[in-house]
Amino acid sequence: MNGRILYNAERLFINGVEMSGVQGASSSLDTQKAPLLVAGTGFYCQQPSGPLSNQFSFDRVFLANDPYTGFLFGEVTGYFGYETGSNGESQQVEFHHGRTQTYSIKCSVGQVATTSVSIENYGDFGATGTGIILSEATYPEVYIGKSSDLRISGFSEGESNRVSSVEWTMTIPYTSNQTIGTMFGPDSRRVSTPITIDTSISIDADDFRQESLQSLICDPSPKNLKFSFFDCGEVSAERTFNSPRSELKSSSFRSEIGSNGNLIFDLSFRTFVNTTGEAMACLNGVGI
Amino acid sequence: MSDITFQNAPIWINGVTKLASQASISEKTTFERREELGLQSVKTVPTSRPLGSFSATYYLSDDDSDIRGLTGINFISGAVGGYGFYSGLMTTYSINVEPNAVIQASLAIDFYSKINREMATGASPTGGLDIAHGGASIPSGLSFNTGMHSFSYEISQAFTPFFQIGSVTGLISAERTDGSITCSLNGSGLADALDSNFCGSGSGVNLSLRTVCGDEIGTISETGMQIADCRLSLSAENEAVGTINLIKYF
Repeated sequence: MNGRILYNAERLFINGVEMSGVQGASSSLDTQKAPLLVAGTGFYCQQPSGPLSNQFSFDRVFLANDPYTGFLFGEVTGYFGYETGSNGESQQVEFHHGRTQTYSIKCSVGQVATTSVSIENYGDFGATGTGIILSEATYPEVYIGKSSDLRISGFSEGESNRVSSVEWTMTIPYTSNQTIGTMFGPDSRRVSTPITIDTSISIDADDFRQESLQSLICDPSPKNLKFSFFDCGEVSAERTFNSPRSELKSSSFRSEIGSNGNLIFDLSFRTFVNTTGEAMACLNGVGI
Repeated sequence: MSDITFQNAPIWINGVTKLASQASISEKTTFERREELGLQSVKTVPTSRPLGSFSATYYLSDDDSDIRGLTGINFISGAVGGYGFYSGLMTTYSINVEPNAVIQASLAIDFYSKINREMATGASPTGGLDIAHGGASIPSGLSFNTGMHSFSYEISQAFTPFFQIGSVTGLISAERTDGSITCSLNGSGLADALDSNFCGSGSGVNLSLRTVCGDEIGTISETGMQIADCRLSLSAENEAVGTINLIKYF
């Protein structure tokens, strides 16, 4: 035993590619067992009563050239390894039939932008193989997005109002295709459409005008929201995210006596796209 | 008799205790209103002999051949707790398999005896039996047997009983008047079945019953099954799903 396992002894690989900039990872495993009750005895044994569905999620600093975006719509395998010995011996949590549920980017004033991924895995999960020897991580040089590099367009009439935070989330639904005899094996889930893109914006309001509910429903005035990260004033964006035809879904305001003491509106926009190609276009900042 | 509870009322059929999740036993007869000329009063008269019904749903711990073999004139006895019957004939037997659920069989019996309230209680289910599970069981036999969402198997029989004059429940004998085995397969891999030409000598259908960890505990096989109908269904949330129904008479 080495005692506690610290973050620098942990590594995450998705589809064989090491994920860089990882700030945290978590997983859960549930056997889905339920009691079997039989006449004459009552409780008899425990048996799985539902699909073996397990969650894996991780957070990272935002990387402009994130390799994970290439894995969004396919089946992903994951390997979270942690050193358990001084000679590089390790244990691992593995999954082999994961699907990305959500992919989001979050940025707020004064913060480094972060990316969050949640994966749902069907089938076997856990230490299903043998541990590998972990070597020290080596990363290529990457651009890390900061709030000072973020520009927003398409919101309000111009680029007005004081955006204090923004979160862009893609939610990918799936058609589950559980078949007889394949509880621990691969399933053939497919991406179902539409794919949802949510954009949440918090603004320190100055001249912001809250539209009425009726006008939002009857005259929604869809917005083509765009978020671009520019590296220290560069002309071309390092990465852009689109939310085309977004309609305001909900809004709220907060007014409290605190550090800023100002009025804050939280706005939530939502749009849908019909194909994975359109979703990738949104992810790459290309118009659709 | 003490109170009957789920925990103290084992279900047995032909002396074999089943891992039952539910069971019921009943008997009934029918009456009609009878009026007569010149009489003010109305009589209530029976129009049928008493008929008993027994049904049970239980988890499969083997291939259940002792029950599936009860086709034709095979008189059955059974009990729910201390309430039992003799002279039963199996009318339906079915198995349903779904991907992530324990496999259960359902059985229905008509019986022509009175309910016996002094029947032996029977042994409580013994522990440690393997249970068939849809997570690892494998249907096969058809060329289009992949991606199956559900599989069902059913035996259905009909009988005409013969009674003795002067006796309420004196069953002399019975004759089977109908018998069929049907299978219904449903799944995304079955769409190819739509090009069936309804010809040929029939298909074989097999079900390998396995525990959740893949150990085989029995098989069910039928040959000469004919495709009776096939269809393709489409809905907004799901991919196309094919359904095939097969039948064999006996």
